[in-house]
Amino acid sequence: MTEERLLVFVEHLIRNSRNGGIHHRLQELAALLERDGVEEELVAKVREMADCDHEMAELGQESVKKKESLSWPAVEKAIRQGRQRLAQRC
Amino acid sequence: MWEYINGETVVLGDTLLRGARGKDDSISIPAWIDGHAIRRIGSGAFSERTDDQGILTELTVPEGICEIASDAFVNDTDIGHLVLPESLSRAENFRSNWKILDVRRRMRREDYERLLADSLHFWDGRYLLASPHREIASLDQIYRDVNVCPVRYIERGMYRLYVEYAGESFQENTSRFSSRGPKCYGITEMLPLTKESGTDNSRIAGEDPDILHMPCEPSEVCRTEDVLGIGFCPIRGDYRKGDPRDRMRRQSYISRGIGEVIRRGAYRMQPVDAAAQKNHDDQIRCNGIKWFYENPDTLPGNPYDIKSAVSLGFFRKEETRFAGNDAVVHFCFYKAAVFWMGLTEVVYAGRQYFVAAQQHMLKDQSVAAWSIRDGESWIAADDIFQTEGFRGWVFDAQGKALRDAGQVEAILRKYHFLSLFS
Repeated sequence: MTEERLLVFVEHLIRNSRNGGIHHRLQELAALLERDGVEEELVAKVREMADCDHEMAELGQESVKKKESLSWPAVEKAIRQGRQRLAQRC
Repeated sequence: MWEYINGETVVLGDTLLRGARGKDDSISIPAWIDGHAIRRIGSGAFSERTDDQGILTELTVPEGICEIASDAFVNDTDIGHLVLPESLSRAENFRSNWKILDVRRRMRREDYERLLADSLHFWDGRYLLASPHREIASLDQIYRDVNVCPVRYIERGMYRLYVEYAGESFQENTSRFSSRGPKCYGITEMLPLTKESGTDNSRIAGEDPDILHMPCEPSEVCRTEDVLGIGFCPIRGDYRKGDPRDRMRRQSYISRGIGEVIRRGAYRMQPVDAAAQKNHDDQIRCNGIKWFYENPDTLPGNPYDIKSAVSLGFFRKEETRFAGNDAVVHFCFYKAAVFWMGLTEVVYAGRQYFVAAQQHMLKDQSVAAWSIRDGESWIAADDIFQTEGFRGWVFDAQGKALRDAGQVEAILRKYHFLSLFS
């Protein structure tokens, strides 16, 4: 699966969705990709998205609101924010 | 991997990653999309609903689905009717709050034989599962939101469990009449729900200690008088404080008159000889009542809260199908809850009456579902008599509710007087 195609999947999994659902779906997606032999880096990225479900949910809402497709920079930003949030929590 | 995205429906390979949900209270799970079979419902696939979407109450999973991942249906707590396909071979804790009480499970013949040997055989052909958590293995959380709406039937001083739900009925003696105040009994209800599951289904409930959210001693089934009930006793600590170290012991009593009764050991039902049985009976006579909570106020909240509810699993041989070396066993589950009932005999003006204090722990909506049945006439929740310091039913030896306020109050005066000494 290409990065672009993955992004489309992620977008459809997080749109109009809440944290819990996003977390489960992205974890599921990561597991499927891993099983399918998709490169580890990409799988790890999806797992990180799952961990940052709060930020991904916001991103999904924003995407719907602005009627914009998801972009990798936006996802990366969300992951960074999520990491910070998780780090603060620890 | 095959990929499919259409609106909210997202499929990767044979896994439904996200399912579409309508605005009504139903969803549709596709078994095939564009000629591709869906085999698996992924984690979180139907985990959400928006405010304008109804709560799912019924769900039919189509034939062909082999696996349902955990948390596939996270936010649907009202599913009361679930049909799962025979193709399902793995279903994790895909939802915790469903009212699923029927399950069809495929097992090897030898496991089925062992199940038969381990279970209690009732006079009407039912087998009571000795250890559902082992045989059925962990949809236990499904029961968490089960609402109990039992119907009691009182016949000449004998409690009877009378359960009627959607045309299904079930009647069982539950206890010899006692005028000694509140006691604890198990009451059960069977819901005619259908669920089919595969071989890897996890625990349903029954003797499942997790139902109580605390560790339990293995329950015993023992010979007593005409009792089918369940009592709990604290083993150590104060479980009201939620101490996880607390333990509860459950004692289950099965009627003498309803068939072969064998005592259950820690893990398997074992026939007991007469001496052992007598010894056990003696123990029960000496200690049994102590194990019950005699004061309803000691319960942590509503006993119909699932924390106090259990279920009993049954199956019938005649409903078992054989497919090759597999037996497809149909289990049904009777909800059982602990309740306290103060039933006091009052002789007034030379006639015998019974005063039943309202179940202390029932929530109002649960009370509304209660009735006492006498033949064809029903004593409904409307018949509850309420006065200062009392709320409950007053009825005669035939189970007929008294409606004359003056008569009831006179009986209640005597009842309150007797209560001082009970």
